[in-house]
Amino acid sequence: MRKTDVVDVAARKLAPYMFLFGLYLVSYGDISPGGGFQGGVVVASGVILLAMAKGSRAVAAYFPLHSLSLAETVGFALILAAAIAGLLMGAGFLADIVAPTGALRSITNAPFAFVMNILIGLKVGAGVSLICLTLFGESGP
Amino acid sequence: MRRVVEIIAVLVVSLILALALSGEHPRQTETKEAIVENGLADTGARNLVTSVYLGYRAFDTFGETIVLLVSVSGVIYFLSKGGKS
Amino acid sequence: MNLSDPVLLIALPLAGSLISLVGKLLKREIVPCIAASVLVALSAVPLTVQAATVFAGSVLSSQLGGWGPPVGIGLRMDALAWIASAMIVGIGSVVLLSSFAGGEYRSRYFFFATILISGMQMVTLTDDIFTMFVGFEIIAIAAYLLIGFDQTDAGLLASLKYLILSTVGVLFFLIGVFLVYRDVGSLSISGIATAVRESGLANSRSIHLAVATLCVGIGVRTAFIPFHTWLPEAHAYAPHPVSALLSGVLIKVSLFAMLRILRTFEATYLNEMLLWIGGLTAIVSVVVALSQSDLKRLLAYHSISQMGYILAAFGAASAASYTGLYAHAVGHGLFKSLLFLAAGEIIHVTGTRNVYEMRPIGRSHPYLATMLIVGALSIAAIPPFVGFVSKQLATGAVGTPAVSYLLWATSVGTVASFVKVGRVALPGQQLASGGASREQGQAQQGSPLHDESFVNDNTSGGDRSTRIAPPSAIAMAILATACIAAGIYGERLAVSLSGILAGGGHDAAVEVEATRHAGADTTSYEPSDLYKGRKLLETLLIAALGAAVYALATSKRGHTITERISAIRPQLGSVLLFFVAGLSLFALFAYV
Repeated sequence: MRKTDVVDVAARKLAPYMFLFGLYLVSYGDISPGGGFQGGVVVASGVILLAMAKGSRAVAAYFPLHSLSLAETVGFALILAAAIAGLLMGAGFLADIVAPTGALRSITNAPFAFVMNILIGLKVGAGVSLICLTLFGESGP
Repeated sequence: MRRVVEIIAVLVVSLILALALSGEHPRQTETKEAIVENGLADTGARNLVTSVYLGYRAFDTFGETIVLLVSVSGVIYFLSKGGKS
Repeated sequence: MNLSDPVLLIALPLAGSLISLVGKLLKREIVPCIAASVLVALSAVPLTVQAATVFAGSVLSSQLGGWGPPVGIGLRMDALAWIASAMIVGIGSVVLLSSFAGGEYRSRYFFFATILISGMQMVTLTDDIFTMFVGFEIIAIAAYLLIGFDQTDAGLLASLKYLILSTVGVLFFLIGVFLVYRDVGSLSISGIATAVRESGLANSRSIHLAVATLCVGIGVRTAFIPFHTWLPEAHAYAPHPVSALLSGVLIKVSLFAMLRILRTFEATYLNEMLLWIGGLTAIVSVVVALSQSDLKRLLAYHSISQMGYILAAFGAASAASYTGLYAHAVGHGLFKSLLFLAAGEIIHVTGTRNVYEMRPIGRSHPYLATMLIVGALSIAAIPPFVGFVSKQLATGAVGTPAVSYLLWATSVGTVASFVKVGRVALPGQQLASGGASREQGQAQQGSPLHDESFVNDNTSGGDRSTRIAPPSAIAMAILATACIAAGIYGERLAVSLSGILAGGGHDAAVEVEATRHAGADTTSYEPSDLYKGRKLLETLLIAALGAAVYALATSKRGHTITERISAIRPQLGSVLLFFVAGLSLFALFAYV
C-alpha cells in the first residue's frame, strides 16, 4: 500500500482520540456501555491505525513489543491474584472482594468491577496490539 | 459433483438451524428479573451488563481472558520461531 | 481456604501457568517448569480431601464468586466428576514429568500444558453449560498450540485442521447453549435437569435439536465416527507427551461432558444410535489401525477404536455398562498414555516412525521394551493387565448381540495390530541399520513388503543418542505400575466402582435411567466373575485369532489391501462434510 500524507495526518490526529475513547470505555464500563474488552480493543485499534500509517517499526518504538507482552502478563497475573485473594479470604474464587459502596457516586460505586475493567482493558489492549504488531512484522503492512 | 455435495451440505445445516430457531417459545424471564432486581445492589454496577460479566459471571470473563492470553502467546511463539522446517 | 472446594483444582494449574508465563523472563527456565508441574501435582491434595465426601455419596458444590444459580456459576463435584478429575491430575502430572526428558520443552510449553489441564478441569467440574463452552474454547486453543508445538509441517497442518474443526464444533455448542437458555431460562446444569424433569421439556423438539447441536459440538472433541477425522493426524504428529495427554485424557474429558449433557436432558432416545456408532467406530478404526505403518498413527486410530467401546457401553445404558464405561475410560487413559510415551521413546531410539522399519529393541533397551509390552498387553486385553478388566466390563455389558460381535471382532483386530507393534520389543539381534532388521522381519513372515517408504534406507538407527531420560523412564514406570496394579486388583476396583455408580453421588437422571433399564438388564452383573475360566478361554481365542489376522494382514494380498486403506487421508473439505453428516444424523434423531 502506498502511504500518503492524508493517511499519515489523519492517523496521527485520530489516534489520540481513539486512545481517549478507549480509556473512557474502560474506566466507565460499570456505569455506561463499554468495559474492559471493548475499551481495550478500541485502544488497540488506535495502535493498529498508527502502525498502518507509520509502519509497525515506528510504532514499536513507542509501544515496544516486550513491554506490551509484559503488560499482558502483568494484567493476567493481577486478575489471577485478585481471584485467588477472594479464595483465600473465604469469599470464593473471583468474588467481589471490594464490596460495593452504598451511595451512587459519579465515577464508580463498584470498585471491584472498576479495577477488573482496568486490568482487562490493559490485558486486552496490550494483547490485541501485540498480535497485530507481530503479524505486521518488522516491515509493517 | 463435489460442489453439489457441498451445496447440499450447506443447505442441510441451514435447514437444521432454521428448524431449531423457528417456532413458538415462551419467554423465560426468571434470570432476567433476578438480574434487574438485584444487579445494582449486589455488584454496584449501574450498567447491568457489567454486573453480569464482572459480577455474577466473572469466571466466564476470566476464562475468555485466558483464551486471549493463550492466543497472543501462541501467535508470538509461532511467528517468532518462524517454523523450524 | 477450604480444601474441599473444587475450584482449587482449576486454580492450582492456573497458578502453575502463571508461574511458567513469568518464568519465561527468568534465566533458568527449568525452575518455573518444575514449579508449575508441582502445582498441578498438588491438586492431588484437594482431590484426596474430597474423595471421602464424594465417595460417601454426597456432592461437593461451590459457587464461584459467591453467586449462586440461576445467575451465578456453580461447580459441582460428584463421584464421576472426581474420577475424571483424578484422571486429569494423575495422567496430567505424569505427562508433565515426562516432558522434562530431553529438555526441549521450556516454559512456554508448560504454560500451554497447564492451561490445557485447567481447561479440562473447568469442563469436568462446571455446573454451567456456558462455562463448559468457555472451557472447551480454552482446550481448543491450548491443544492447537500444543499439537503444533514442534513446528513440523505435518504437526502444523494437523493442528490447523484440529483448530478449524473444533472451532466449528464449539460454535454449534454455543448455538446449543442458546437454544437451551431460550427454552429453559437457566444455564446451570442441575437447574436444567430439574426443569427438564418437571416440565416435560425432555420431549420437546427444540430441546432435542439443542441436544443435537451440543452433542455435535462435543462430538468433535470426542472423535467418534463421523467426527474422528482430525484425530489420527493431530495425535500422531503432536509432540509425544502431548499425544499421551490428548489421547489419554482429553478425549475422555469431552466424552464425560457429553454423557453429562445427555443425562441432563434425559436423551435416552439417542442410546440406540450411540450404541451402533460405538460399535462401528470400534470396528472401522481398528481395521484402519491395522493397516497403518506409522507407529503413532496406529496408536491414534486405536484411540478412536477404544472410544468406540466406551460409547457402545454408554449406549447400552445399564448400570453394568456405566461401570464398564468408566472403567474402560480410566483404563484406556492409563495404557494409551503409556503406549504414546513408549512410542515416543522408541521413535527416538530407532530413528523411524515406521513399524516395519524398526529394529527390535528387546536386547538393546530391555526397559523400554518391557514398557511397550505392558502397554500392548493392556490394550490387547490380556490378563492380568488393566485392559482385560476394563474391556471385559465394557463389552460384557453390551446386550445387543450384533454390537457385541462388532466389539468382539474389534478385540481380535486390536490383538493383531499389537502383535505388529509388539514385534519391536522382541530381543532381536542388534543391527546397525534398520534395513537389515526389516529383511529379517520379512524373512520371518515370508512376505515381501515393498513400498517406497519402506525402501528408504535408515542408517541413522545405530548411532543416535539412545539413552532414555530418567523423567520419561519414571513416568512410564508409574503408568505401567498403574496398569498392572489396576489389572490385578481389577475385580475389587470394579466392585467398588459399580458401588459408587449404584449408590448415589451422581446425577439423579442416572438413577431414573438405570431403573428404567432395570427390566432390560436381566442378566445380573457380577464383576467378580472376571477371572473365571470362560473369559480366559475367550481371551485365548481372541489372541489366537488376532495372531491369525496379523498373519493375514501381512500376507501379500493383505498387504495390498492395508496399503489401500492407509492411503485414505481425508482432506479438509471432506472433514467438514463428515461433520455435516454427523450433525444431520443427530438432528434426524430429534425427529424420530
